[in-house]
Amino acid sequence: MHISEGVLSAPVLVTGALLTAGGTAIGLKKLDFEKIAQAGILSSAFFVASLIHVNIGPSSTHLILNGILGLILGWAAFPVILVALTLQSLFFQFGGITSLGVNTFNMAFPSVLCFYLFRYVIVHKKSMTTIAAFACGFLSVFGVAVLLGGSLYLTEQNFWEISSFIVMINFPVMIIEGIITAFCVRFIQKVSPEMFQL
Amino acid sequence: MTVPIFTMILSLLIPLNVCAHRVNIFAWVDGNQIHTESTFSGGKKAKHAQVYVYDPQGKELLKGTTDGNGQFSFPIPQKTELTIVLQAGMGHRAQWVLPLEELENIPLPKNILEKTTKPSSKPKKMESIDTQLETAIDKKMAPIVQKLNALLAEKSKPSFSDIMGGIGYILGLMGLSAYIHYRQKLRQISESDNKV
Repeated sequence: MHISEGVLSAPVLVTGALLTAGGTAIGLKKLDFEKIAQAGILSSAFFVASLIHVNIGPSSTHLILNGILGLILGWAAFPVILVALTLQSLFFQFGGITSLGVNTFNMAFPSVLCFYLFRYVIVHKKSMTTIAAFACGFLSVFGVAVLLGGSLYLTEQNFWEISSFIVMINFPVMIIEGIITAFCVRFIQKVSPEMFQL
Repeated sequence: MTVPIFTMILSLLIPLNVCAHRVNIFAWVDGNQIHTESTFSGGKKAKHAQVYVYDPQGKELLKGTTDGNGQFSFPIPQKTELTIVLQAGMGHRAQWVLPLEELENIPLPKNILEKTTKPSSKPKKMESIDTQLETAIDKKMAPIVQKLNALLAEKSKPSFSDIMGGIGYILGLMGLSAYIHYRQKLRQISESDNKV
């Protein structure tokens, strides 16, 4: 899910960086001091989650956890993911510094979308919680896959064949992420339901 | 309903290299050939990935596809510094620069060898010695090359200190934001004290 350095064209990189800068500005504005601890822990979780490889069949993918991150943090997902991705590119050489903007946007934007789509349902309709949380985890990875395919497609047409595979190949991760998100949300609602209140 | 199930089964079957986050390409000169080996972080071979070879001016000299072992070999296209770029799909890219010095040490091509040898010696025999020598060197070199590859793969794996370092940075940022927050609060308090 990390785009390496030197793959994307300059316009795509600049657009990604600008969108990420905007998202991060909004996120930092919305990030209260009370949420800093949560943001830090979720940032650490995101940072480490990429090392948990899910080997299904011949492909090996990793967890992203951007769904649960978006549900709890909303727009603050942008700065949190930016920090974690920066550290991943420095320590693990995943992605790269120039593609940081695009990568952050690809992963954080689905989080914010999931926040608006599922937050209300999870907070107010208790009976739907599990289904909504599963859908949140599932769709957040789906969103990343679509954005990843889109950014590759915008750069070079011949990436298209591979791009169309991305969604399909990440199908197992979407399901696993959905299950993990469902479990996390159920757990948080039992232990500290105030976490979902803004 | 059958469509998602079908795609899921398909996604389990298609042997593509996906989402390993980082690829490495390693190239070395052997005789008149350049061999490359491509792996994902964690040691998985990059199968059926595109390999491009560029000269120092950035002109594409040739391209090819790695085989089932992530390997791709090609004859030396020209004696300049070569940049070998691997594109393993989904935004994965790696490169290896082969410096001129490594290319200069290659043995002379066979036709030059034949010219310099005495007319009495049969070229065929010469060639067989040459190939024998090459296979012997290959055999001796194989463990070294494998060890180098293993070392490179090992290096590409994140270590425990990397993980702890990253988490440490995040905790540090949390501390920094707490510091800024409380400094503002202290300033507000001291301002209100001054007013009183």
